[in-house]
Amino acid sequence: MSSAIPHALVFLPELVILLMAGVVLGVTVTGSEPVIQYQRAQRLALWTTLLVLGALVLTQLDPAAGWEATGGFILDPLAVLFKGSIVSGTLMTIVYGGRYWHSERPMMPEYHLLILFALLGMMVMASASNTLMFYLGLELMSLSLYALVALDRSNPEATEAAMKYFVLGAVASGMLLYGFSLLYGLTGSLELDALGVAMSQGLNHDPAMILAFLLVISGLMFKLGAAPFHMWLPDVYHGSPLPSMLVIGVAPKLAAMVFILRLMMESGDGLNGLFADVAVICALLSIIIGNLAALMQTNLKRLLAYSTISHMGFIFLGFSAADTSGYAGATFYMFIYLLGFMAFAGSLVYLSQSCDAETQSDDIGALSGLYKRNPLIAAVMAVSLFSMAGVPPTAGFFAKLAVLMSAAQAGFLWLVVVALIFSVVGAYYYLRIIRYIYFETGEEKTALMESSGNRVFLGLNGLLILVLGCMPGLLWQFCYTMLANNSYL
Amino acid sequence: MITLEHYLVLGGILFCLSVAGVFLNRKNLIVLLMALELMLLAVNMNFVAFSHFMGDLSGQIFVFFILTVAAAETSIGLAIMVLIFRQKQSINVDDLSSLKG
Repeated sequence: MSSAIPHALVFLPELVILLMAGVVLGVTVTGSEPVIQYQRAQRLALWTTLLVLGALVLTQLDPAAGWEATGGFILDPLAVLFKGSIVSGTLMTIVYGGRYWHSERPMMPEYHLLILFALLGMMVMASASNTLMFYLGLELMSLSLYALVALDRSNPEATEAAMKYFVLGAVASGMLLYGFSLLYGLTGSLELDALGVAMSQGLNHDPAMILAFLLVISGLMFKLGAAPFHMWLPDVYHGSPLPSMLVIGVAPKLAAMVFILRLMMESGDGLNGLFADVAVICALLSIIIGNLAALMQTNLKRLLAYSTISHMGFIFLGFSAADTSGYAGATFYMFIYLLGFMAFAGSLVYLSQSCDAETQSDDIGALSGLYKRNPLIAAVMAVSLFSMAGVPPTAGFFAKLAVLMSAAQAGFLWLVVVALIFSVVGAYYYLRIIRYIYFETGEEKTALMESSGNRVFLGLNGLLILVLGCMPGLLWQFCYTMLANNSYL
Repeated sequence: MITLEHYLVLGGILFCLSVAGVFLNRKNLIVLLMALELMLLAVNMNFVAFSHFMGDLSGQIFVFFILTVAAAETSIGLAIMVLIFRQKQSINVDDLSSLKG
């Protein structure tokens, strides 16, 4: 569609979020009890994510809406695929994380407000087709996330984590912006389409172009938490409150990943060689550093952070192939990782609900004998851990298979061998957690509150991992078709 | 005659200064925030220079957005800094070392 005024339907999901965020803002400033404000905000946030999912489906029903809109906003299959997963991830976050704050911990309705603003930022990032739009989405997301980490004002660790996140995040944004300014100078436009034109004119060997590309990709790698830009991740996960960790865990990484994919598709074959080199180095470093450092951790949040780094390595392994099946493999891996991370971290939130702030512990020993206390949560955690380790009947096995296959087909056989060796190393620390859950004995803890709703959803989440493990073909085909249908491939 | 290269070199120098300021500074969080601000200004210098010499306005529009975002970013940074000062009675960068492992 080429008219100057884009079809309003294209923006519908974003408009819904903006409107609802305004309503939640209104709820948080009205003078009623914090508990009531909090519950209202949570209900509204939950409805928002469901409405946005509906709006996203609606945008796909009307073919007249097309993909393109002027002003740096595009709704192509790539954007739709990632927006769907970002909203689903946020929905899980609200369901699993919402009940963490209770009488023992300060209840802040801002929690849901910040999630909605971060969601808006991520949606804009997924649809950005020029650098200005992407930057605005990125900052809206990042600023909300810094505040989310610092939300628990009485906790010095959270404050320290927020400061570290803020400083390193701002440096990453600065690098990204410097890269954008060079891209603007080289291509003469803020639009990403101009990149392909510049590539066809032979700019891909220009040292300034390579510098600009490296700066942009470094900034994005930081947001993904891939080595060598992973330093912030363990500290931020460790310090932040559990529900905030759920928010920063997956959805922002999905949003950063869309832009990497878009950059690769727009620049065509011009930069694929360079990108493959960067991806190989990054995959190698992330897988080695993530898995080795995770071996030594006893804090569950820190362990999860290092395991995240190694998973980002596997995603870059998919990127290293630099073709449709590689990108689809990386996307597939990310979705499976989303499910595994949410099931595990959601279970941690569930367990932390049943103890007060003093007795709560992130130590691995706190899971001792969980099997006897809560068999369902123990099973969900075991399934998610097996999936993250890549053990066959779970979905994680096929995710690893997809990226390893595409990397092998691209000729990086040595890299595949290294990745396999280190995923065996990684299996050790996942199995160690399972040993604590099933084979150690721990003391009984008194439950402060029971929330049967979360048990059901966590159970379904675990079941979904198993079902996808039995029939991974559907999701894989869906990822592949959506990416192959994109205009630039 | 001042050419595009002069501005780009200036932008590059400012950017390197700010990165050095962030990573070498071990004393004061306020200096750190200033270095972050300088980084965005270096980018602005690049955008304005490119925009002027190419005769294309979109670069200057980008600069206005960067200025606005920079203000928001600094306010978040200052807010977190106030929290740190309340808890530790210090804004020394070296005091931020309780998270390790």
